[in-house]
Amino acid sequence: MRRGARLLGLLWRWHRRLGLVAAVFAVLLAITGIVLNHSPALGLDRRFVSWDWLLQAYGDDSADLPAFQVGDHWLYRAADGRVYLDAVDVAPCNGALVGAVPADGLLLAACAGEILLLSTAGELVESISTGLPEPLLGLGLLSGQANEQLALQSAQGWWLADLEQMDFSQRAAGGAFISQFAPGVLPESVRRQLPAQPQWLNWERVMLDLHSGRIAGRVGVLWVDLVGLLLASLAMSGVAMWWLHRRRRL
Amino acid sequence: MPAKQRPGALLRTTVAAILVMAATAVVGEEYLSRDAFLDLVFSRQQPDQQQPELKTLWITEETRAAAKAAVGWAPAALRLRYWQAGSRTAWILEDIGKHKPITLGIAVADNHIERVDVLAFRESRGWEIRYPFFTSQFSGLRLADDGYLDKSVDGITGATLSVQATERMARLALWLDAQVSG
Repeated sequence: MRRGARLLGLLWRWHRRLGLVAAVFAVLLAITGIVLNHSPALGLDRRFVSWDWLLQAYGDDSADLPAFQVGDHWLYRAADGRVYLDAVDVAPCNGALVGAVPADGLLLAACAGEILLLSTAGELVESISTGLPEPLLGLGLLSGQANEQLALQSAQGWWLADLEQMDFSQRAAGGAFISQFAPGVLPESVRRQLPAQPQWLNWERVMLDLHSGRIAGRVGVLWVDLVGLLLASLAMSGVAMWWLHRRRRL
Repeated sequence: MPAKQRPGALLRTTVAAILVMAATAVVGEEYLSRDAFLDLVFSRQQPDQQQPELKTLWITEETRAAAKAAVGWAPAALRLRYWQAGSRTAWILEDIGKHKPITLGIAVADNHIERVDVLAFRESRGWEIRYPFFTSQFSGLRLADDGYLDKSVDGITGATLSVQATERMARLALWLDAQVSG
């Protein structure tokens, strides 16, 4: 009986502590869940966020577009996730734009999870999003040989890119000279030609990201997982306390 | 260990288990690499199997118009890469579900789908399409005369747009296979 009382006391203390930690997030999950259940009726997918701080938190850097100048052209990725060549809308690109180079009469744009091959007229020749050493951190040209060779940078180093064979598995030799284009700021003359950026962040996505924790990235998802497990453990400790308490009274 | 410390140890173990479970619950967006998909389709690890050849299909204006007329959708790029060994072709296609692209690997042989695999999924909803209970429905399906699949595929509640994108890509893969296989 004394052991049962000790366990009951321990359970009660931890039930209270974990409950306090989980309470705020339980309310947040409940509210966002109810709102998402009625998202179509509330028209959340048609209402767009206009708060600058929230747009910036989602990586909308449209006020200061990072861009790469390749020859006479400017390549950049707009807030809606699409890559533009000067004022021409080319294609969506997965992840932030990390580099651009000219190669074999084409222009190459590298995003964190995709490479786009473009014509100088802004036509999408090919997009490659598989087999890459992701996430890409840079794109360059390896010099010192008969021909310049395309090279991709990831956290593990530089890799040779064979676009003909779609092979990106060979490491660049140590000490190789790789040239890259430095990012710049899109000039005002190009910026003026841009079409107005469509609104892209709707409230349904914000609610979903709040509910899943993705609004805070992977850490947020992990935290929501933890809150879910905390809530489950609270339910179990509540039942255990009720059972222990009932047994003591009998 | 004294008896009075046991509940504390149990609690610590439980918290550690919760943290491990939470950590493993975080999933990446890439479910299957390109090479793993090609190994599944062509059994590339087995030396007696015919090794696939990487080929290029140029999408001309006529091809794009024909694809749209036949299956209602065509890729935006001017060229597509695919792998072929004998009568079997493998395609890696990408289409937007609701906001972000879904990357599928689709294997076609003798005018029917052999397998569909979700290589990468980036949407926040609809990821259930990656499970075999959904993708296995595509095995054996052919392109009907009206440009749709010859049998219906059961959808998934809450993943309607992802299911539709998968069907679109499956139809296009069958159509593209018919173009390159003659």
